[in-house]
Order: sequence, then C-alpha cells, then structure tokens
Amino acid sequence: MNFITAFTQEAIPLIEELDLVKEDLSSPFILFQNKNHRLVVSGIGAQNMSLAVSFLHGIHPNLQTPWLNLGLCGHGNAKLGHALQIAKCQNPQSGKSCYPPQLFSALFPKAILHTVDQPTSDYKTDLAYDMEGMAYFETAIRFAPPELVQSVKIVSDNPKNPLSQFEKKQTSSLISPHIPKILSLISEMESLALELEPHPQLSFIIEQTLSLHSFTETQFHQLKKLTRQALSLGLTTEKISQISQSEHSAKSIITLLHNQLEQKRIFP
Amino acid sequence: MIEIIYIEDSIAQHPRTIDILKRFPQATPIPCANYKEVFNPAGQNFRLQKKKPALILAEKKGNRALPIPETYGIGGKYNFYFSHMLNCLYDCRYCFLQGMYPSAHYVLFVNFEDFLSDIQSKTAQQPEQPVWFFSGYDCDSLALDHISQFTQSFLPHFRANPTAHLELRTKSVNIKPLLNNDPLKNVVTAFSFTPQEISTQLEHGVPSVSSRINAMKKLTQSGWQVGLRIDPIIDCTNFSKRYESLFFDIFSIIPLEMIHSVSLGAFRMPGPFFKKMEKLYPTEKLFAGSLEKKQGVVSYKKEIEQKRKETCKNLLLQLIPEEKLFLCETAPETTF
Repeated sequence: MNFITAFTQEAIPLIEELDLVKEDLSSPFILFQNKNHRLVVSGIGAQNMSLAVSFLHGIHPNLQTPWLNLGLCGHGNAKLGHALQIAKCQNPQSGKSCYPPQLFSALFPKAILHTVDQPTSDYKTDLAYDMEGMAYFETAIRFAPPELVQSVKIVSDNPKNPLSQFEKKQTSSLISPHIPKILSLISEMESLALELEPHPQLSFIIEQTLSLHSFTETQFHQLKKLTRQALSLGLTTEKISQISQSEHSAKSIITLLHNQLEQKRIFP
Repeated sequence: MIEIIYIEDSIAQHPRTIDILKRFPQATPIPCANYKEVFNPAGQNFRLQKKKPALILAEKKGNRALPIPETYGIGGKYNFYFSHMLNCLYDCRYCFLQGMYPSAHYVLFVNFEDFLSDIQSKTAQQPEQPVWFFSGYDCDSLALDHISQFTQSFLPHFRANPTAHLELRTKSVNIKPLLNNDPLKNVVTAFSFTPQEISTQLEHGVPSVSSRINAMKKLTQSGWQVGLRIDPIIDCTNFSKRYESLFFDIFSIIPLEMIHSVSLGAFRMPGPFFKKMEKLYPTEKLFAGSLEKKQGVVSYKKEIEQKRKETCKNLLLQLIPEEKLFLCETAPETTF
C-alpha cells in the first residue's frame, strides 16, 4: 500500500504505527517503507504531489496497489481535529472534479475538498480546503483503480481558528487519535486490492512454459488465455506443467491444452 | 444500503430528488454538474463498485424511448425501450451491463414526466395500434422500486392509455407495488429464469427460482399477466433435465392463460463487453465455456447454441402454444 503526505509531520503517526523505515535514497523525495507499505512526503502544492505520486509508483509499479493520502485541511465549519474522507475533490479554478468511489465502512464522515493554489482564509460552509488533493487524485488514478485511491483529511483550521494561528507541532496530535480508524481503512483497502490480484500460479506457469519453448506473440496470447482458462476449469498446476514439459513445441502445447480443456468447458 | 447519493445540479430541486433525499436521510448527498462526471470516467472497476454502489440522481436528456432490436418483440409491431435507471441490484455474471457500463453505481433518472411524455408521443403516433414499451433492459424494473417508486409513477399512465403496453422485466419478487393496484391488461411483468443450479452459481443476490415462481403466482392470482424470459440460455451439464425441471416447476403452478409470452435467447455478448467482463472475472467458468466470436459477437458455438435453443423450444412447445413463444436473436447494443 502507498501513502502520500505533504509534510513529514503529517506522516509521523503512520511512520510510527507501521514501523516504516527511512530509505537512504538519492531522490528528491523522502521515502519510508516496510515490507508492504511505502510512504513518500511530497512537499507543498500540486506539482510536488504529482511528482511524488509518480515517484512512488516507480518504486513499486503495481497497478492494484491501494493509495491513501493523509493530511491536514481547512474547513468551513468542521471542528479542529475532525477527520473526513474525501468523496469529491474539485479544483475551483479549472472546474475539474473527481469522485473517488466510497466502498469502505463508514469510518469517517464524507467531505467535498477544494484544492486551491494558495492557502485561503475564505472558508465556505461544508467545504474542505487543501493544496494537493486534486493533483493526488488525478495522478494516482493513473496507477490504480479509483476505488483504491482514497484521501483522509484532518481539520487543522477553520473560520474560528484560521491557518495563521496553526502551529506545525500540533500536527501529530491532530492526526494520532484517528490512527485506529485509519488502520481499519488501510486493512479494508488492502483486502479489496487482493481481489484484483491474478491467480497466484498463473504467471509462474506461463514463465515456466515460456522458458521451455519459443512462442510467437500470437502463441503467447493463446498460451496466456488457455492457462488462465485451465486454472478456472480446474486443471491442476501439475497437469499444466506436465503438458508444457511433455510437448516439443509451442504449437503442440497449445493444441494439447486446447484439447484437454474441451472436455471441461461445459458449465457445471 | 445507500451511503452516498450524487445529485446532478439540474434536478437538485426536482420533487422526486427531494423526496428520495428525505427517505434516505443517512446518505451523504454530493452534488455533481453532470452524472457522467461520476459514472463515465475510465478506469473504474465495476467489480469493486458492485460491492457498494452509490445512487446517482440525474436528468435523462435526449431520446428517452428508443426502438428495440427487431427480434426482441413479443408480438407487437411497434416496440420501444426506455431506461429510467441504469444498473441493477443483482450481480449476474452473464449480464451485459457489467461489460457496457464503466461504473456499477445506480443511476436513477428522476424526470419521469419526460419519459411519460415521450411514451405518450410514441403511442399517439399509432393511435389504432398497440405500442410496446420495455422497461427492464438497462436495469431490473422492480428490484429498486422502493427507491425509484417507478411502478406507482408509471402505472397510472398505462391505465389511462390502453393502447400503450408495458413490459416490466425483473428477477425481483418485489411485487407489492403491483399488488397494490388493480391489474392492467396492457402490463406484463416478465420474469427471467435460469435453472436453480445455474442461478446459484451465476445470479448473485437474485431471489431463488421458487420464490420468483411464487411471486408470479401471486401476481396471476391477482389478475396480472406475466411473461417468462429464458434469456440467456446457459449451456450446462444435464441441460435438458435442468431446463425441463425449471419449465415444469413454472407451468405446474402458473396458469397458461395468465402467461402472456415466453421468450428464448441464447447467451450472446458484443465482443468488447465480453472482453471487459473476462478481465473483471478472469477465473469465471462461464467465460471459459465453448464460446466463439462471430461478427463481433461472443456466443456459444453455433451447433451448441442451436441444439440448446431447439431443446428449450421443444420442451416449451409441449406446454404452451407456438404463438406465445418468441426467439431473441441479436446481441444487446451499446445504449449510452
């Protein structure tokens, strides 16, 4: 799972909770990670966010990895420390909007986020404000289904407590109380992402077969389709491997697999 | 449970929108300029969204009553379909909606008055002839009636316009909205079936065959005509026995005179839809069946399709007169 925050202070509660370790990289972004989680601090603004998301995808280029943006926001009427999950993000200047689908348990109230170029003191009722959200969503949905691209924002300023009064050292104390619910959301997102993973044996069998014979591009696609169908129709991995090892050419493997499946194709 | 309701700006003040929002006070309303901003973006995953679809309230613009494919009729000469909703409560693995739509969210077009006006105008073009309107192509006609209140909104129109005929196609047993009304001769509630063993494997969330037959029975006892839609026919082991048993179960309970029509259609799918469905469910056995692509349409191999259709036809003709049986031949089209 990938995490993005704009500031290091926003990342600290997650870094501590997930035991993320800072990587010694010569890169423009700071990367923290453990075996299954990666976190990058983007810096302020849309451009930094877009670059950071692309950078993080490059570290782990998997198209089923869930993404979570965690950060602070201003809000027109929500109380300080209130946590919100973004259900609509809009750039009021361009008029562009995106609507991250909300499939997870209702852990946080939903909010509409306006991504602005500069910090604002012009708060409108029922709107949250940040400077990176739109860039985050627009970039991350290139690398994952939009269902797996989510953002949770904690209110750090509002009309009664404007941004000018906010001190960065408050960040962790605003975010930390929400960590248990954030962990639940992470867990749900990871479970959902698992459903999109291909059959665990599929790529192994295909690679094994490809290493034994020479396949044309067309034969490669036929092999991929037949292997996937073979696994769906209950042919064991051993049986498929046996076919690929017993035959002497790509063509005969495809023919034999095809013939084996013909008997199994009728719906049970 | 609906947790999010997206509301298109143009119908935010529509009485039906206000009413629905009142009935779902726990849902978070999210405004949108156009429903397509939410529904159409590429890259959405239908399979994931199906776990918790949101509701989108929108305005249907443009043509609201469209001609149906030529072979989809049930005896009438003038046939149109309309879609007051997009997407379905159920999750049938063979359903073309999952290949056609980028999103699994339910879209409800709340401007029913415009649909009815278009229906009125199509009906008026053939004053002496019955004109058929089919409502369940892009959604289930009854399953989400508690949200849409479609039946109570549309039945009065058909009561007042006896030459306009309505087919409500459904797998739902939500027949209360019909039972609350006196039966109409120009309304047919058409139930889709596959044998129970197939339904269990492929029609996720759909009421059992027996409860659907029971719903048909209650409707017919109240004087409503029903239809039977054996579409898609799914090739399977013990094919004849399973379909024979299904037909027996239905016809031993439902009186023939209350059955308006029976239609048969083989599994068929436009190639791009099938490709998308296969990608969504790569381990689905149905998609690894004896299928082939002919002229851009994926269907069973010709000899299997013919044989299965023939079997169903022969079984049905032992139970119903030929004039009640209709064959649907072509694949669904992209309609949005």
